[in-house]
Amino acid sequence: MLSYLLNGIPLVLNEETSFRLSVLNPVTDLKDMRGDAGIGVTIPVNEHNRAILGNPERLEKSAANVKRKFSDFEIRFSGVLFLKGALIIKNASGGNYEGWVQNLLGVMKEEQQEKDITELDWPTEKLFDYNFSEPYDDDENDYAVDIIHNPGFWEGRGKEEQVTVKYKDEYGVWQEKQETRTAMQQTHFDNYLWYVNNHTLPTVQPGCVVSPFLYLRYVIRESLRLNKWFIGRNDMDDALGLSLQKNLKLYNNFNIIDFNPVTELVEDFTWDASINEMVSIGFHEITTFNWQLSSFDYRNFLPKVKYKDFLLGLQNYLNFVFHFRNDGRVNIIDRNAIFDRPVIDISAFQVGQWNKGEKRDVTLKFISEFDKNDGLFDKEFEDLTDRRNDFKEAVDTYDDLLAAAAEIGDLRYVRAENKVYEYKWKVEIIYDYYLQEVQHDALGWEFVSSGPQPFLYGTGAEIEEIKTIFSTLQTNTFPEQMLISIPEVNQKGNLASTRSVYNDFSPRLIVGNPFLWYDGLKMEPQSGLFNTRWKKFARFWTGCTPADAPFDMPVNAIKHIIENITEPYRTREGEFIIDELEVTFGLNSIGKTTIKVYRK
Amino acid sequence: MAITITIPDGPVQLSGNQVLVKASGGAAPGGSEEYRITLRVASTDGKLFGAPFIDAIAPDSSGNATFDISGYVDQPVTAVFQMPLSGVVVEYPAQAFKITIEAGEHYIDSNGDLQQPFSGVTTAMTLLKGGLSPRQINALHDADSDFYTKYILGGKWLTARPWGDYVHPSQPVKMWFLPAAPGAATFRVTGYYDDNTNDVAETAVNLNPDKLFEFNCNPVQNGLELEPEGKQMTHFDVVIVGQSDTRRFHFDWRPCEYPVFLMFANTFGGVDDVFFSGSLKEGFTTEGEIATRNPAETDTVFTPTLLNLNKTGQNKWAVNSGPKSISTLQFYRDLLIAKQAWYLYKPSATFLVIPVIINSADITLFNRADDIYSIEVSFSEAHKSRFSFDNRIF
Repeated sequence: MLSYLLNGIPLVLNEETSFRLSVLNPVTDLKDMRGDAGIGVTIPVNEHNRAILGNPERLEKSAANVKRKFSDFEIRFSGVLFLKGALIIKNASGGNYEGWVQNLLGVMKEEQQEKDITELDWPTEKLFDYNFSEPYDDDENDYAVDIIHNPGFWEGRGKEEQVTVKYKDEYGVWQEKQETRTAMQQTHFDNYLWYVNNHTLPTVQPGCVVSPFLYLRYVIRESLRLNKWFIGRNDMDDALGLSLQKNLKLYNNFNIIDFNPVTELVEDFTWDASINEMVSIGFHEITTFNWQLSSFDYRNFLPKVKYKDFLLGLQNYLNFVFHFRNDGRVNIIDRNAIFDRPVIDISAFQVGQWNKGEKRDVTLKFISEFDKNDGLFDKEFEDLTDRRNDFKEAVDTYDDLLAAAAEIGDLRYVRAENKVYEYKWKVEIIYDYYLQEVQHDALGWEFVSSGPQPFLYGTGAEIEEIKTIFSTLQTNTFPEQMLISIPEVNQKGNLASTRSVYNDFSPRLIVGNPFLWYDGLKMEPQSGLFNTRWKKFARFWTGCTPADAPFDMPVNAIKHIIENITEPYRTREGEFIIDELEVTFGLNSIGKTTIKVYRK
Repeated sequence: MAITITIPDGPVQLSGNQVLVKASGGAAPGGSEEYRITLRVASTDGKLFGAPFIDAIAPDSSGNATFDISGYVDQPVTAVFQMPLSGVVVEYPAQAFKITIEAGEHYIDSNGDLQQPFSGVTTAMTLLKGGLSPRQINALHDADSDFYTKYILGGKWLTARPWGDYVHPSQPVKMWFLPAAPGAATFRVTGYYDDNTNDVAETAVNLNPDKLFEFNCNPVQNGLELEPEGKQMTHFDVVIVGQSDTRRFHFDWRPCEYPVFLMFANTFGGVDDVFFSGSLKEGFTTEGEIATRNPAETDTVFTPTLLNLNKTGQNKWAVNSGPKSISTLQFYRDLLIAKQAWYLYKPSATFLVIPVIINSADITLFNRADDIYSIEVSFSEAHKSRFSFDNRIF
């Protein structure tokens, strides 16, 4: 029998009462976090229900925009829970209350939709844990201090000076130029070669930058826990600790070494143009920077993004899906390995034929938002998706580009520079002895766009975009003669004492072990993210066939499928993943269950 | 953990009714949130699709929570019975669901971590596929009883057929039993003749509460003669000595040109048999669609332009019960709502088992203004086929 319960108290229903349950599989939606059930609910108006619901039809409660929302609402059939969340009554007139049920994920989404992930109740005033050299342990380590390279951390902070820097031009010829840097930037270079986390704590030299990077697994677990969700099955877990996802950390630009300045009142003179005279001024000059390790709040290590976008971005970057269940647990599902799992046979319940739709033939376009505040990502980005057939294999360096075979129209990505070049008819400009410009028609490689380009997979004309706010850092070999790759940024930093000027940073992941996962988070190389996390699912998703069929299922079977909706299923005709399960419960009956799927 | 569970209606219940499990002793630990009592339902015999299940309910102010687990255990069962008959007793280890239930707790502790311990103490239950009406359940409760007490501990046969039910001499009379405890027992059939003599047949049986037992009760199947020289058996009693109640059946010796036997899964988890002595009509329904094809140059006199597509056929029958008592007609309600039924078709010496659907109808069971009561029941074969299926061949 169908039951509606509010705080455990059953409402009184009638013969016409029915409830259409629609459950969506988060695996098949790459655009949103599926959760809002949007199920229409009709509750008869009678003296029992009026009392339980507090007379929602009364005039003082029917003002516009007043949402009649009742939390702790459950829908059960024969005692089995199918929906738990908040009952929202839209209309309270006539013989029925009309409304819908927002399940627990929908409730969380509504509470969090305007909140950043930084606004959760993260630990504060933490002290640095020197045990950073130990292997990661769920119970002990929240962060790690991987070395990265950031020449721009101290940019815009403090007095500036001119320095002469050498650089290689596009011909590989060393050139010199004058560059404006802050004194602190130069100090950071002099003492630390612009490395972050290259420290010898507790000893601190001027310009030191220490940025703890929170482990992604910690952030996921803790952010869910702060929302009262707890991880059940976790496909990101890895017994050996060698998987890519185990070692991921979230990048930030916050320095936990702060300066405690000592100042001295200085009197000096400056020219006042309004009176054409020198006038005296006084200011507190910083004479000494006392660099000290400060306590810190974890929220400073997190990007300012909406929590919902954070989770969806992770799904669409690493291909792990969050399945929020009615029992307050979240399963983290490896979408790429779905068909490796045991298949559940539901042939016994099928009562009709499959209605097949048109086979999909799409091209997946993976779009990562690169950080606009990182100087390494040039502003000159052009989407070259339409020219995907012109792309040849990427090369590591500009020298490799020059050595590669080329035909007019070829496009190649140079990883070290994060730039795309086109082999084309161009104008070569040289300067003669008299520094006069001389132009020549030439064939050669010319810059067309900064990278990275969206990664494309598939041959279909229709493009399906998979967007994420997540990306990763560039990696470069520093210095050139060294073989170790270090993650690199060129981004202004943040300090607790300079929080009036906040330099934003986007959600980016660091691999942490350049030897094990050199290309780990880049899409296009053979060992990159697409091959390790997307290939199997992409192969299925670009060419699967939608279908639906009717089933006659008892309550326990419907419950089991809903709780395991992310698993692979089969009938006699083959294997599939479920897109949507829909069933209507009457007061004392269960209608046919319609299951929409994507078949191999 | 101080959670204890009780099963108000006993460890053997019908899955189609509420199967209540009461948990008590729930108390939220200090500093915890979202405290609930949990119940884990596990399938001992592995037959419940999707088991184990875990449900959670917030306790009331007294620390109690009541679970209804019927939805988890009311799974369709394909009822079976022995046909052709062979022997007296048949055991079915798989016709009931065996489960265990275990209580636990769910809460977020003062550190913000989820805790989900279970008690480690499990309680076994057996569920039969069936159910009682709300009125019957309430009547049992009013008498401080329940299905388990009345039928299982009370040793009642799993059937609603009336005492003194009239059966045909060739009818495969079946009775079903779920014992409350294991042990050796004797199944006794006592046949009574019109010369006031009787004869007894006994069969030893090892009762096991994990199994459902089917008994073939017709005295012929038990080795008794219905019409030894000079006499005729008028009625017979069946009992499991010391275990069950006694049931009586009368033979209907009135001439019957073609007795019709129907079997159906009753509401107690057993399979009952009924005998209709009235006239039988056998019919055949066909359906299909007609399509039109264009004439072609190669057509011959044999070639149609109207095509008979997707034609299927279905057997159907309508039978009159013959004169029956009021109690027997009321018993037929169980047949009329049965989800599984079979027609024992007898074109030759042996029965053919045909699954059928008892057609829905608005039937007057009896009118007290009349002197003789009977009903007409129509049923259709639970198959439609595009091919010939002459039931007389197999």
